[in-house]
Amino acid sequence: MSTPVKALIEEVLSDLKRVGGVNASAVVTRDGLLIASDVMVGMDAETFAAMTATMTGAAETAMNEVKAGFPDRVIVEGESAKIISIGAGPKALLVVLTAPDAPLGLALLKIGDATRKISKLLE
Amino acid sequence: MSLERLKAKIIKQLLDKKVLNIKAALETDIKKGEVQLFNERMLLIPSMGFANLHGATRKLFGPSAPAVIRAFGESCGRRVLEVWQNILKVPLDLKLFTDMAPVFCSAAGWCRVVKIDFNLSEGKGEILVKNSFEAEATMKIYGKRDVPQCYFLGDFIKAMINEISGKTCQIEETRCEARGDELCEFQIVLK
Repeated sequence: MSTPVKALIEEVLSDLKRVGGVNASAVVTRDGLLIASDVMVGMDAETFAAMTATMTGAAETAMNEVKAGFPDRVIVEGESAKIISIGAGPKALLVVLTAPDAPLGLALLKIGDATRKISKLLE
Repeated sequence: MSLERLKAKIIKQLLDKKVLNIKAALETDIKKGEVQLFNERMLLIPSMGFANLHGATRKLFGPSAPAVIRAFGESCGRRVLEVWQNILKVPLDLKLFTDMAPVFCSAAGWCRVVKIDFNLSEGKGEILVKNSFEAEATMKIYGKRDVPQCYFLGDFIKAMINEISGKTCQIEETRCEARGDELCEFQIVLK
């Protein structure tokens, strides 16, 4: 990946962090490699990328197994955070970590905008 | 100790400990149902088993299956490096790794390293291998693939280089026999 594209994706992630409740985000390939990230210190972005890609991949195969189509997004709600994984074009995923009480509607709206931008950048 | 003397010492150790002759170093204990190599319990599985691993992870994890195989390769790379260091009893650096890796890869039957080169001033490296067990196995079962397939091997190498160099190693397989290329090529960036 060229450096300017990576920098532009990082800009999108940086903008996303301005949305209330968004604590970290990453763009990863569907096979689990990190493209760009905006994560907190101490977090291993590469491992997070692999984990979230496999989480999303497993959700896809499970949906496929029950003939339920392709998942629009995967949301994991935990005690102290939510993880939202959503497709950003055919090759990548946008993964966002939010506070547990972050308003999901607004976050999803902004995440949707970000995925469209990222998808275009990766074309 | 000069690098040449150190290399000579290591090669002697390798010969003494039969590292270059896996068949001679393998110890089988039929009663216990165990095979050992350098005091490490080994599992002898067909290389095709790797293709099955690729297939099983793909079934469960879909397009993200390579992430699982890479993680497996990375943990194995770290473990095998520990075993190497226990055998060699000297700290490995990239120069020694460059000399030793082709010998170990051939002796273990994983692949034949045809080129291994690091340019530390540029923070780059390149490894070319032929006859990769992983590429061959996946191709035999699934046919010619669209993208490189040596996920295990790539991250196995990456983990070793990470530990040895103390730098963050990024590795990308840019050519692969499983894709119909004449060899498997790994491009390395050290940061």
